Amino acid sequence: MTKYGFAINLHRCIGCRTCTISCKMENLSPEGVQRIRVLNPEDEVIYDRPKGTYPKLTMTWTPVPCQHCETPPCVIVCPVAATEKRPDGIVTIDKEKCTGCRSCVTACPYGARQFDPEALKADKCTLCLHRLDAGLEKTVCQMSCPGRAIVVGDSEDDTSELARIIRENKTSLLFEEEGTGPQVYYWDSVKG
Amino acid sequence: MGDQSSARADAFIMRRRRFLQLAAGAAIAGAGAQVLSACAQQVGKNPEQQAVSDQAKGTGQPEYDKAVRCVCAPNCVGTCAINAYVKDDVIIKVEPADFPNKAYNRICLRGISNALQRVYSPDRVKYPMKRVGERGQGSFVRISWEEAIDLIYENMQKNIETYGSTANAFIGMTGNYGVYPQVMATMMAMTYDATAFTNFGIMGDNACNMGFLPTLGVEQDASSWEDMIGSKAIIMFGCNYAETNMQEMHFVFDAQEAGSKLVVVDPRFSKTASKADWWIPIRPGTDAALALGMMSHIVAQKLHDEAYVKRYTNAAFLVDPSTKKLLRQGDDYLVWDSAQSQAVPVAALPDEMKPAYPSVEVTGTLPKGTEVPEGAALYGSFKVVLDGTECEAKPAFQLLVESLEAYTPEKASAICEVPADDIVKLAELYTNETPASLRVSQGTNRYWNGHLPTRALIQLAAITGNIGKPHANINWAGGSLMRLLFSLPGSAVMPYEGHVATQQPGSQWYDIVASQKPYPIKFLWVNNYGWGTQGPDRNKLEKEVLPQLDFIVVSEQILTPGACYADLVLPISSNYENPFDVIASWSNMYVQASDQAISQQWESKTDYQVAQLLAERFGILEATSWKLDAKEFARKNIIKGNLAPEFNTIDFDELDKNKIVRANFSQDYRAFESMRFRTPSGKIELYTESLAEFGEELACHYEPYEGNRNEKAAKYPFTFMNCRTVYTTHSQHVRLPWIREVAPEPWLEISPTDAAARGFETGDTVEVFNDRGSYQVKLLVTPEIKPGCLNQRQGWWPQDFVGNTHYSSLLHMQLNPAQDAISETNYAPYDNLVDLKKA
Repeated sequence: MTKYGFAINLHRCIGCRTCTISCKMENLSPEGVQRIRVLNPEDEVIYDRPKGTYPKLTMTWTPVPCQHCETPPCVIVCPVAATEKRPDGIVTIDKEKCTGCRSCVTACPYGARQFDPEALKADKCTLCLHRLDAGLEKTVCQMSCPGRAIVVGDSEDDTSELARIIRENKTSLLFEEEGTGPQVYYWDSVKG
Repeated sequence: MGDQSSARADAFIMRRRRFLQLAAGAAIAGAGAQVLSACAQQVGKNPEQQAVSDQAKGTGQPEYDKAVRCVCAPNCVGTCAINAYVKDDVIIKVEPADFPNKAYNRICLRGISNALQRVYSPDRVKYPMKRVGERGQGSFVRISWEEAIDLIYENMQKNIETYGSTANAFIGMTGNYGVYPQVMATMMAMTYDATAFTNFGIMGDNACNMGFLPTLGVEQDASSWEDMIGSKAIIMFGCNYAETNMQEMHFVFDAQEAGSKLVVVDPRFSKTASKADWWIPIRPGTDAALALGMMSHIVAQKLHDEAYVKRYTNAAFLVDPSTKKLLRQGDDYLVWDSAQSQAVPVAALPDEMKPAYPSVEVTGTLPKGTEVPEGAALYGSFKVVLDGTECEAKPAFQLLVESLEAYTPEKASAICEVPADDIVKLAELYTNETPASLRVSQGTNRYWNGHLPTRALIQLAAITGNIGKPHANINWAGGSLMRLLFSLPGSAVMPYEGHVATQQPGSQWYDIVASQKPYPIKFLWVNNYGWGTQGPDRNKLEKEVLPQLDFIVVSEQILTPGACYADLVLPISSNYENPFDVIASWSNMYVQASDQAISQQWESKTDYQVAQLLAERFGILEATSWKLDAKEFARKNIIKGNLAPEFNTIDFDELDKNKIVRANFSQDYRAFESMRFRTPSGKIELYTESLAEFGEELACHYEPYEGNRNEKAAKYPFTFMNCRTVYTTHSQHVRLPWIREVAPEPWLEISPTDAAARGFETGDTVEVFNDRGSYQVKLLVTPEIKPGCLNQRQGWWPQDFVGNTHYSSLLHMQLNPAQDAISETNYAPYDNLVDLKKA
């Protein structure tokens, strides 16, 4: 069984937002809509500031795409069943069915869903399913990332890079306690 | 005009979106024709639900006519190979194209925004335009190319007749890394016997070069980025690669994952510092003192490599301390041979046996006479009789050791504000965690004393035996970019045989034009240069320099603040429209050819095409090599005629066909591998007698021109930095809509300590000022900044700041006599003291 997900190496994220912009290009996102947001320590995508007091400082960025949850809260709340989880794990929105009620935008604990003000519908990361389904190996954010921070793959396939990262490293999930079963594995290849 | 152009640009964007009918995967493709026709009505729909063209079916790509391999190289140091997907002559998306070594595949937010938003920007210069309002206002009327070329001809001709041909001047910069845009100003000045302003100094990148030149004999060099993998320690001075070399940062991560310790020396907690195992904050402009402090400890503890120092450097050469000159016997140097208790000669390496930089090829075995005897003294004082005169001579190394007495860890600490214990710890890390790679870059370049840190770091690397060693070395710049330019033959820059330019230092161009000395300059043609925001002293430029010029031509893609100073603006094509150019790289040894993805937009032309039009108007086209098309000119003059065998052995047809070849340097390139240097002696010259008159015969530290301990700091207490960011390459990308989503407006960074002391908060608008000028900007209070410093991330335009002001009005262009003796003073934009108040 295929289970698509991300591994994101936070040491390799330099906070450049190339993933955000490459995704906007690929997926024609309107102004202000970012399917993968790179959050700074203040959970903002602009005006990055480190934490701490000079010179004892730390700085990390967290790229946040759709977490393609195992139990996606967005699916349950959708009144018209426009959102579904594919057998391969990708959470999709059927834009024909979506009425733009924004229930899913509110339900997502990750802020991964945004309201598309042009289409008047919910919008989010599709894991570039148009690429994966066509047999291309990488999502656009993965292909474009200067730091090589992003890996997309099948966590159920033991031979995949994603499975290897999960197996060999300490990884963490966002809001694991919410029970959503997020499939974005964050890790740090240098500082652990 | 503004409304019309933005409407046109909107139409372009709409077209782009319309063609973004992505070919979905097999699952959707199989859904049948009914679905396809329904979806085809939807413009700008998300790709997973869009229509499928036959051609793109199942590829996961949008419907496109062609994918064209281009190069995106806007002076960001990336030189990225880009596949541009084109539909109906419009770029609809870009992806990184493959390098032969895929570790170099690359793209970034700027490159993406450039291809899809800057190429189609409403701010594009679309037609030749003649000024109608005041200079700087940006009021122009459209004219034809014929009228434009006539205007240039008439103005140049008038000057030639009235003042002489040098009254026509040209200056170009590096806004596009294509060979032609970069050398065009020189080519034009050469063709018309005009003045060519050099650009190395005013560019602000020359200081590190001036650390390299006296000691290593070349402007710059570095081992390949992969060479860091295997370094036990990587120590960076003034390198914020995570922002300035973002495409190379993954090699640093590779090295860290392979076990390297990363140390970053920087006053700011930069993005790179945030990735370090050890960040060492330092007082701005004092990195040389830290390096000298490390050396002081190393020499005191005898941690240096004496055998290496004797063999590969001029440390054993005897110096007469009273004259500071190296002792000579005929053409030979002298060293004190302890075994014989007498001075013995050491010959300089013959020039023909040195690598002819940018080439690294060497031939022949070292003549015996060039070897320093094993028994040569490094320490002491010796009586030497030369031509019947006795003098008390000392080996250069003895003088070096003595010079370090001023930089004990304690004394160095008092200068650079790095604790003495940390200086010792860093020195021991450097000598214990070997091999250790030492890297220096632009952060140190941006101070008036900016050559000193590099000089000191070279001395540090040399005495510890690190230069030329794998996974170690001293590394600055490198790659094929400057090598290719430095090895161009005369024919590449002199299209008109028998005609040459008069060169003048670009770092003095304001004064030369303002004073009209040493001769009148009345006409200026600027290309490839965002001079309206990226140069120094804006008020001086506007009030003293521009009024002396009768006619200003600016070749530009975008109506920049610099273009608004013009009397005539010429529309220049982007890289995606350029029929042909050769483009090299800072970060690797590849050479690329850019293909044309889309038609030349509006009425734009390439710099080369403009030059051809002017040659025709002057009636010299057939008599000059401007008659060749750009590709044939490149074949003949850039590649085949190149002076370096590493470039002239490139198969031009292969380059033209595959769009990328590697220049013939070794695969795992290591700088200074031959251990022969293009210095007078052929060795690493720790001691440089020609700089003795400036007190710089050895590495040393002195304060920046506007250091924060200078007298002036009582009035203007803050050091004003203006660092680069990931968001824009200088002024090129900062106004693009996608960039604005992640960097909405300019902000000035101040430490919480200073903000609290002045009662400032984030969001306050302040006026930043000194005795040269002022500008107004909003504050961001952030602990990233060292107290006593301010940082304005650079590249923003006057219209982005409050009141159409700009920070370049704060920045000086003060000459440094030692730098002018080595090469040319480097523009030092961080070396400025300012104060600020609530606006």
